[in-house]
Amino acid sequence: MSSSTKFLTLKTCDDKKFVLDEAIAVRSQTIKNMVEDDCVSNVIPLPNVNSKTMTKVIEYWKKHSEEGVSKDVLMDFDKAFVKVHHSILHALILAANFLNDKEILDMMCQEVADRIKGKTPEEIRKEFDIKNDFTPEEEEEIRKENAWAFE
Amino acid sequence: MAGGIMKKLPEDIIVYVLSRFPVKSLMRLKSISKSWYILIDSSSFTHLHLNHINNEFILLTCSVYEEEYEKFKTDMSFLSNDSNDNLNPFNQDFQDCDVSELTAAFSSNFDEFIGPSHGLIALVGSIDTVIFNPTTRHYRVLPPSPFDCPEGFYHDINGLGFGFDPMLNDYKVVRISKVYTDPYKYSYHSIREKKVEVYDMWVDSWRELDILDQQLPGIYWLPCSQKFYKGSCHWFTNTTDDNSVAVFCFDITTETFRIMNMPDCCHFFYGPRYGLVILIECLTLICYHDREPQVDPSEDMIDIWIMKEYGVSESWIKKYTIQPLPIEYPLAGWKDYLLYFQSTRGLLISYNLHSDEVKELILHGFSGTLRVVVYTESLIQIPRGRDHSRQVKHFHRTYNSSTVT
Repeated sequence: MSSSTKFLTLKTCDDKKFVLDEAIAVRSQTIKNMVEDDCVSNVIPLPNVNSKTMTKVIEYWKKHSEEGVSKDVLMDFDKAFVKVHHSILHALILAANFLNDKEILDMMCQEVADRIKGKTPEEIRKEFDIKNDFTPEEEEEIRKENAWAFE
Repeated sequence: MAGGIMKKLPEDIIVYVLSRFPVKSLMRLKSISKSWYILIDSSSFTHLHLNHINNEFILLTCSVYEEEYEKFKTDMSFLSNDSNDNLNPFNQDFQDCDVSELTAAFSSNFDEFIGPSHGLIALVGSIDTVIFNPTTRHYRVLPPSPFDCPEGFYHDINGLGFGFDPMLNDYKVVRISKVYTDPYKYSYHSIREKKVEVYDMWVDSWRELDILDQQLPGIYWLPCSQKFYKGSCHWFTNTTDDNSVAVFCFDITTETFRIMNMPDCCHFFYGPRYGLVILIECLTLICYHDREPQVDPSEDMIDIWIMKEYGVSESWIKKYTIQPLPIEYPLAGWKDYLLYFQSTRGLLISYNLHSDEVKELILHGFSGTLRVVVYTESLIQIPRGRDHSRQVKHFHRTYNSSTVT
């Protein structure tokens, strides 16, 4: 039914255009809502996503929309997909949040959790830019409360 | 990861990331800052976390005799399993903790885990009932039921259940007991009445259910027979009409009772013994024998029945038949294909339904006191009791005393 295939044009914040099969683009709940509400004109602007990040997102969408692709292949694909530099990981999370793609968001948040799981509280404070507002006594009290978790 | 990369993430995404951490990490993360402490402690985060994390662990208890104190204590071990299905202690030390409230002058074969529900479990000991969260190690002893029997009567707890009621948003303990007219004649005819009491965890009090118009059947106690599944507590009952065995259920939300039939060929009261476990996310019935081995081993086979469609008696299917095993009773099911039993030698054994492999685990418990429960890790908090003497405490390593939080 290729004759009925509809294409959408997505424009990223750095003015790059992506032409995409509508059936694939609606993996984004945000785009899907726009299509359903009939407010799609020629070009859909994505003011929060740059082209580099969008390329990654489209790579994921296309792979996961392939016909007859096996579960194992997808699992390997996902495993490789999350192994990116932290700046891309960060950008992908924001993009997935904006596009409202729960699948990518879930996977990326899990990756962040896995990456910082083994870190010390001090390292995590640095990671999230958090100031320690506990007194040493209070911190000790929390440690005591949950002593088993610090073993 | 380079420092500060998570700085610019919106707060709801940070919450989303945090909800993917195991409880042990979150307990440590509470010390990051006051706002993280409040977030991780909040009930909305607890529920978000419950939906995101699906890590299962095993809690194993056995009763151990302490010569020094001439007492039996309940030892708890927290176990996880590796990819080869070997059980490993979660925190290196195998003999993990003991709970002073569960120490008694005698060993009871009737200590039971009730639940689990959202990672919370009730443990009913000889004297006290304790609600605990094995993940956070917090627990609280329940207040005694105020409905004491009048003098000259005898009160016997027959069935216990524990589970979460989503309508009330509370956890309930249900207790069914028989009241005898004469303490010295425990015959059937001396039963004066049956009593059903419900304890609401957040309200922290007991109430009696009105069951006047209902004829409650007796509960038939067997090891590994009290299960909470799909919002109902389950026990075995022997129906009075033809003395066969059936599953007796209590819906924790509507607080009503009902009976489900067993598979046609296994409802005999005098025959095999029965245990209930959860396997392949289905209520599962294990039919086994605890008698001397028969000449014909086919008579000692263990049948595993699953109820494909919950509540539909016609949907029982015999999923597996396994070789005779030297078992005392079943303990639990795990991961869709593992069954745990206590062996006749008092050991914990696992049976792999896929490979038929049997593994033994040596434990130094008192014979007949092994109990196993599979729980999902959760942050669910146990509320403080109204009575100051019954506050939330946390388990400590063996031989440390408990402290009040």
